Formats: sequence, C-alpha cells, structure tokens
Amino acid sequence: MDMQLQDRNRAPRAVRAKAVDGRSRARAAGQRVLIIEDDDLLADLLAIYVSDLGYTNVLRASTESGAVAATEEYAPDLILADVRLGEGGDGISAVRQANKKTGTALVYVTAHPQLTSGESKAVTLPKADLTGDRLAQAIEAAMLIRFLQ
Amino acid sequence: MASDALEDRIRQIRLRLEGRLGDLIADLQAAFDAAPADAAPEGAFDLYTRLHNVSGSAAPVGLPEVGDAARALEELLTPWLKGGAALDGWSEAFDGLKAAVAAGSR
Repeated sequence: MDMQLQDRNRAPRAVRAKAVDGRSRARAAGQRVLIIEDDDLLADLLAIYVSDLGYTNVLRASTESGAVAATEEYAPDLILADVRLGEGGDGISAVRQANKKTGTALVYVTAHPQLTSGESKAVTLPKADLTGDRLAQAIEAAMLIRFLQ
Repeated sequence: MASDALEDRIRQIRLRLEGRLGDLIADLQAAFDAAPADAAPEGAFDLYTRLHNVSGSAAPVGLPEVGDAARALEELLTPWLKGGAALDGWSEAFDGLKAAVAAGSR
C-alpha cells in the first residue's frame, strides 16, 4: 500500500489503494454499501472512497432509525458507520440491529474508537487515520470477518 | 498514486469544510462572550455537533492541524456545552483552533 503524508501544498494524503485489482473491483460492483454518518462532509468523503474502490450501489443514512430502515429494505453487504450520530441516535445500536438480520461486513469510522472495543465482529478505523488506503484495508478485514462467521 | 479526479473531489470537500470554519469560530466566540463560564450557551448542542464534526473530518481532507485543535477544544468544552463548567485550558485551546484555521486557509 502506498501511504503518503500530506505534501507541502496541503494536498489530500494518498487516497487510493494501489492494489485494487480487477477481481476486487468486480466483487465490489456487485455489493451494496450503506454509509451511516450524520456529518455530510464525511459521508461525501466515504462515498468518494468506496466509489473509487469499485462500489456502485451506495446508500446513506444519517440517523439510527434511518439506518435500520435502510438495512431492512436494502440488505447491505457492507456498512460503514459512525458511532455518534448527534441527535440522530447511536451508530452502534443501528449496526447491531442491522447485523442481527443480514450478517453484514462492518467498519466503524469514528472519532471515538474506544466506544467500539466490544464490537468483536467489526473493524474500527479512527477518523483521524482515514485515507483511501486505510479504508480499503479495513473493508478487506471486515469482509474476511464476515466470511469466517 | 491517487488520480487527479479523485484528489480534486476530496479537495472540493476540504473547501466546503474551510467555508464552515469561519462561521464556527465566530459562533463559538459569540457563545463564549454571551454565556457565563459555568453554564451552557444557547444552541450548545449544535455547537458541540459542529465542533465534533470538524474534529473528525478535518484530517481526512488534508487539515490535520485543524482536526487536532478541534479535538483538543472539544474535549475541554464538552462539560460546558452540556451545562457544566469548561475544563481549564479551553481559552488557549480556542486560540489554538483559530491559529490552525488561519494557517490552513493561507
């Protein structure tokens, strides 16, 4: 993986996993992703990253109730979830309800990684470390956990 | 290596974030000026959410210093925004956020 820090011109850090091969891209194209995030900028950023990884079916929810409803209707293969959803509720609660029904691959993208320490079937990526590379690695790990379940 | 198109899309998000930082600084300053030190300001939850969002989104779009400064201020202000007293050092942390935002916009 190519991990670069910011350059002098404050360009975004390297954002794309080098090793997104054709097989991974084809697999991603057939899967559904749900992004649970109340910050519209972060939700946009995550959507850009997963699009770059080849995911084309991406839905968003910004509240706990919206996430649960979307999961029931959409049956996502992968969920990227924030933990704290402001007045919109709790991302962990939403994900637990979702995972109970579908066995979804789970990645928490949160500023509070300590809050997901009890979520053994999920991968946690701190927001401060969020890059395309790191997200790709986290998704691969979450998919492996899902496969082994 | 990231494609130019991808980096440009992320750069657009950074510009949107930078556009919100000035308002957040001004609203925090107004809240500090208007509220007693030991009571929650009006619109506290909104302020908290906006500050929290900046602490999470700044680093991924290329403004890590802003993210670090916002996170430091968020920790010190959390009791205040929830109705208690801010923790010691909040004023310096606010100055740190203002400095990081100013440096990031240059």
